[in-house]
Amino acid sequence: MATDTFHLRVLNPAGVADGAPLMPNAPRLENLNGKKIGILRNRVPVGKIFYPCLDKALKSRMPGAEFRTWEMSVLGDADARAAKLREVADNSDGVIVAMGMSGGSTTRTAPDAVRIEKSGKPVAFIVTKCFRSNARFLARSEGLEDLAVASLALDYVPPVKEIEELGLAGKVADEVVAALTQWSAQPPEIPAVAEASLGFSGKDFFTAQEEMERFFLNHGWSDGLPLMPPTEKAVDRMLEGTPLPREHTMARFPPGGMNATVEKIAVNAVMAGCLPQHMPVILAAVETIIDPLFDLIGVQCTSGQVAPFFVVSGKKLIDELNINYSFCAVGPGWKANAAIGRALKLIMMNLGQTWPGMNDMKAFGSPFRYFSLIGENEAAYMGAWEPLRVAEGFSDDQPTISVMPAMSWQPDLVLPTPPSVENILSHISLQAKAKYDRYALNCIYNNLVLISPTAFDAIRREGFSRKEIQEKLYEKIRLPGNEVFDGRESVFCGLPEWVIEEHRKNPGFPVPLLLSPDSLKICVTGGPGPDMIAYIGTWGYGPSQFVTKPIHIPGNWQSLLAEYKGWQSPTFR
Amino acid sequence: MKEIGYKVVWPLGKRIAGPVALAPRVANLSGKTICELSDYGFRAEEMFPLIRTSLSRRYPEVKFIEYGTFGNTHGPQENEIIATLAEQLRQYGCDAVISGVGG
Repeated sequence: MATDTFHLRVLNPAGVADGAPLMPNAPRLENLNGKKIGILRNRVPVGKIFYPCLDKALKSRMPGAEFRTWEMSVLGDADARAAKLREVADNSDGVIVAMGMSGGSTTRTAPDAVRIEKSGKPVAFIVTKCFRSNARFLARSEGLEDLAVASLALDYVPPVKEIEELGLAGKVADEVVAALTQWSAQPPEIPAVAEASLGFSGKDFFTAQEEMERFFLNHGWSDGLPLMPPTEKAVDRMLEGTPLPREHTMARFPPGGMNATVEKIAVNAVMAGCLPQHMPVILAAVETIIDPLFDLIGVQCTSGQVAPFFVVSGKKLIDELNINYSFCAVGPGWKANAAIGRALKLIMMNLGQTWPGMNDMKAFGSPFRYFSLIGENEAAYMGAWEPLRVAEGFSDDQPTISVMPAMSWQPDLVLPTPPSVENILSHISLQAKAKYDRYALNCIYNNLVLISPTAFDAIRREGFSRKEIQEKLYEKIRLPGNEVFDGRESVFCGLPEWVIEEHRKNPGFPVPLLLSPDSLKICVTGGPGPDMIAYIGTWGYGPSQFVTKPIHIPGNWQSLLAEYKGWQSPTFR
Repeated sequence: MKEIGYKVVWPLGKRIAGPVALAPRVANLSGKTICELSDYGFRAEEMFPLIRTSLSRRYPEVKFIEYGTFGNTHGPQENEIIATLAEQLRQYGCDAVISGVGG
């Protein structure tokens, strides 16, 4: 009989909770007769269909209750939001919060429900079926034991006729009554693994590793690709890449609210296949995504197909780490690009505690969620433009990493060749307009253009500066107002007031799809050859912006490079 | 200390085509027939005429069969064109081929 002979002990890659006990739910109401029931609605587009049906059903199920309705945007000023929640709670015996019908609306609205419940008033939170888990997860990460969810029997809101035929609003109203009167908290769907380290055995290294991988996959700690075992020794080695203490907490990572310690970041970096000298880039990248401007919770949980896309700027560092900025810069084939990019996605999953269908609700996802990290091709500027880091306000000798909330990837070949600047601008503008999303409001956030060295050469020859190109694109990336607004009002909340005023005066007014010239970021990258551009359109379903942070090089840098060398990919030129 | 070693399987595919020797070069282009093949891209319409002019100047007797005769070797009819290409080149008495443009 075969016996296990190889033992593998690895560190737990999941984030650690801060240990604060969860707050119990508010007491439920004995009955609803004579009770003041607040209805707090967000302004999701399907609300126009569902809310009237729900109102009717609630009144029929709770004839003795007195209803009062408040409205609130999915996004908005935090102080005004808190004040409104207090007003709702103070004026209600129980509250119905509606509704989560997407990753974004559930993620933004569930915390409102939690705050009211924490104030002592029972809440029923309405969602479409597939967002139940997301809502309950968010409640726990906000410190509440559970959230009473009343769900539509479908994953989406159908037309009114179908709601009526299937009695959907009535069923939701029944669940609302139960949530406010009889409900009790349930245990989490996926219990946490508390052990700091885990052991796996097999007849040799590979079978033990296979056991580890299976366990990690079963617990939602894997991107599906093979993982390097985060043994204590490997993690210690990874920590050589930073002077920060291993227990230093960089952030509470959303949506799970787990503590992202430097050690946990290093564990995930090991799993991704990183080298110790990658740590400074990883830590700076973590700083970019936890910056409130990036809106990480939105990026993590939205139904939109967003993924962080990272750009490293700093020629010396790029060369030292062998980050690809030439042929196939976006992938694959370079260890630094692949491993650092992958580590960041594992960090987002494991420290944020996200998993597809539980709280990462992207309909399709994105190939960029495996990895996406490029270097800037600084040599291609030939001194004509300042590099991206300088354009973003950093000094030339300070390497940086930027993150872009990338929703689309739209490469295009500029023809005819050799192109004029006008050709290049036309191609960029066509792609920008193709991506423009009337609901997403991508016009008010940052977008990113990649330009290949050959295409950039035309810009250099004609002598245009970065600022001039941005200004020309701002003028060119416009659509007629009628097309932008298209009878919708939602777009109004995101555009500058002067644009709305102009549109009211002249419906044909060409509306700029960029907030300002410098809101369009430009980076030269990739290999020479045909004249290529790639437009990376923003996510836009949340206030996520392009964020740049400095990469801090540790004092032991040269010894790190000397010790962990030899990871260069072959270059053919 | 015991050293652990693992044998791994070579990950590359086997080459199934044997090496093909280059065709003999043409000693002199004078009086020769050169067939043009084009992917109709990367400014082929500018480059082929320039090449024709330049070679004709050096080799007045050279004869060109222009790329339009054969069709786009990188277009939707690529497979059909390539299947009959050898026969076509023979029919035109081809001595050498210029194929392009890789861009």
